[in-house]
Amino acid sequence: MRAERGSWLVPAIAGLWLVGLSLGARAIYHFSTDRGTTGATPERWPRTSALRPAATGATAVVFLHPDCPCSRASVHELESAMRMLPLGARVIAVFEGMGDGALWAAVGTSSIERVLDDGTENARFGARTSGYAVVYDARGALAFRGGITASRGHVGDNMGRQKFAAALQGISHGDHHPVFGCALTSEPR
Amino acid sequence: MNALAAKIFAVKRARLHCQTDRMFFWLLLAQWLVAIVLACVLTPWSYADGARSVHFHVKCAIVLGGVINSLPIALIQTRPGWWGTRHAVAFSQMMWSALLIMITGGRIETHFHVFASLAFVAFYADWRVLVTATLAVTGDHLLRGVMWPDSVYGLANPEWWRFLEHATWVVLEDTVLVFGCLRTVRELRASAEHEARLEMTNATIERRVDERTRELGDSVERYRALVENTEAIPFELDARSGKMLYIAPQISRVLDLDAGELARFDGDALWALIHVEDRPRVVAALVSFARGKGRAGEPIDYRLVAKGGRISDVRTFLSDRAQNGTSIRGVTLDVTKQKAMESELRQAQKLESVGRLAAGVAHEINTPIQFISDSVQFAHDAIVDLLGLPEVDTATHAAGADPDIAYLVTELPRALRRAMEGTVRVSTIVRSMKTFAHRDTVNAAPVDLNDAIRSTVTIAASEYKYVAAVEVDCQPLPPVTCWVGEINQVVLNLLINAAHAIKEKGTSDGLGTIKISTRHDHGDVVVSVSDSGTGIPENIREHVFDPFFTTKPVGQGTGQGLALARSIVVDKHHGSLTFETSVGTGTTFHLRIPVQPPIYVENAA
Repeated sequence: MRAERGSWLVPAIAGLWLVGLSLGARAIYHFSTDRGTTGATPERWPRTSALRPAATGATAVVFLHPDCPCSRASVHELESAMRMLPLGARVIAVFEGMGDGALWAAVGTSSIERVLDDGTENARFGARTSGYAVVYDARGALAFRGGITASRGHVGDNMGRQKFAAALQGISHGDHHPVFGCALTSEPR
Repeated sequence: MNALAAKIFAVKRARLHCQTDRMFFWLLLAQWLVAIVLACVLTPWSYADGARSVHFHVKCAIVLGGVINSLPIALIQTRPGWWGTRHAVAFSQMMWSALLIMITGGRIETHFHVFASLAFVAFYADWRVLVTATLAVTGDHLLRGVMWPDSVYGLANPEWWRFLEHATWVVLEDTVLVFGCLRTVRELRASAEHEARLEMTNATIERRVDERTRELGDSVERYRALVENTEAIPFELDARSGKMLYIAPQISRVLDLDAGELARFDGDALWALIHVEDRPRVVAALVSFARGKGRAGEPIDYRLVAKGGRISDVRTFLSDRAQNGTSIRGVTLDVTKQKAMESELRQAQKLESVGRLAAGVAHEINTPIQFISDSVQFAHDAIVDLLGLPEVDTATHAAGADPDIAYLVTELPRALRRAMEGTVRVSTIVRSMKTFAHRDTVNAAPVDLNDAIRSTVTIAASEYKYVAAVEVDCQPLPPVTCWVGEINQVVLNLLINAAHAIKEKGTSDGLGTIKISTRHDHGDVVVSVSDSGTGIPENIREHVFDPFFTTKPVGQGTGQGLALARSIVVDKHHGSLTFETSVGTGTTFHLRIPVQPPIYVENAA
């Protein structure tokens, strides 16, 4: 029988194959959970910012790279979190340019305010990775900072989104979560 | 399930496994391609510090997709149908689910790939493969649930038993699929048993067919041996084309063919070997038979020219018209020896007749010889007397002065005339004997039949002259092409039979009468021999031509006379020999033969 001939060979190859699969899975894991860098996020709403916080509620700002695929997952989670947006709250998406315009247009169909920025606001809020979100409460105090996706470009419920939503609703304060995504321009262009 | 059914079942199942392997070969390749395309569309680039690079998902789709496919595709190519191949396929298919979910960013819809994959894996109709697939997907959930729960459950804080919940849905589908697999296997087994039964039935039928074929072959060989080891030569002829469909190999003996020549012998060549004089007649007879005119069993006598020019006499009996008359069957017999014997017999009988007639002929010759002798003696004595006498006056002699002289003057010319007549009669008898005993040539020749008949009557005189007076009435006849010696024999037989019939009736009231007449009748000549004898009793009329049938006492007749006569007239001269008879009044035999032998045109066919 052919299966009996060189019977050690197939298990050996199968073992190598499983090793290859494991390495691949490990690479995916590392890529997906590779945390993006963050800068110093002010504890109070920066007065130098051109952005205007909400008058009576919390204000959320999400910094997005317009072409980064991970940004779509962040927008997806952002929209999920905004289903229970409290009255007076304001959500702003800061785009580092318009890119190919697809994400800009997609965000335009929601209640998220869009702002084009040259990197100045990134620096002010300490955002260095696309998908980085900050929440300031109605008094201007920092309530949340970090990513709102489980991993890089991965949609679905996660702690980041839950903390973000809780901060936006004023339930929690001072939470943070790792951010996963492409690097943003850290200096104004 | 018997061994054959088990074997068929194994083959069918192996075929199913191989077919499913081939399906997965293309499915795995298609998934690889789709994964690359999806990655290129959804996540083509990643960005860092304003620069972009190929996204990890694209690289992952290409490289990890290739790794996932490598083992199952290699096994499908090298070991299709092997159990390890399908387990590797099932495992890799589940890996594809994980990879595609990752590439699509964890879209919940992509999770349906797991269920679709299980359905595809079920095509193997092997529940063990479903177990492998289930273990793979459960293991993946368990592992990621522990290490990276967000990526697999889409929940922020999944419970520990979440993997069991997911696995339960998989097992639920497995239940349905396993049921389907078992049913497929059951149907496969039933189909195998059905095929096994059919195969066994077929095998039985084939074995019987083989047996029958072998028996048929044996039978054919037996009949062939029987047919081809007899003197008769069976044949079958295509009546439309004249092509010889079959002729038994015994023909080689007739045509002096050796084995090699026989192997190359084309039945069609036989036509060329029929004697040129007989060929038209044979063709006409065959055509006539094919058209339903001829009667089965009618003999056709003809000659074949063998290798080296040897002539063989053959006799063909056509037996039947096969296939709506498109072919003719029959047998041919080599009658060369028989013909020779018949010829010898006829000659022997002729010589017997000559011998029997010899005494009468001697008597016939003796009488003229006697008076020739007396006349010559008288002439001798007269001349001696005359030589002893003085010179006489012829005038006185003429006046009859001397009675002796006068007597001599009267009788001497008469004696010499009788001597001359006797000489003529002897000459006639001798010529007749010579004519009668003449051995015929191979071919028929034109003759004066009247002359022949007169000769026969002459030499047979001793047979009839004491019982009957013979009247010969010969009308003018054209030359008749025949074997005259044999016709003479027939006439002699008829004449002797007539004399015997008259003798049997008795001659107390005077001599009987034998009338021999000839006439020309529409291309035939008819010779009639009538007698005033006893006639032929009705109960023996149909036997008179049978060989060895005789009403004469032992030693006086062989029973061959009329049988031979008929053979000569009918078979050899293509004529007829019939009789009219009336018991107590007499019998008349009519011998009818064509003036020319039958001639058939070559294109009669």
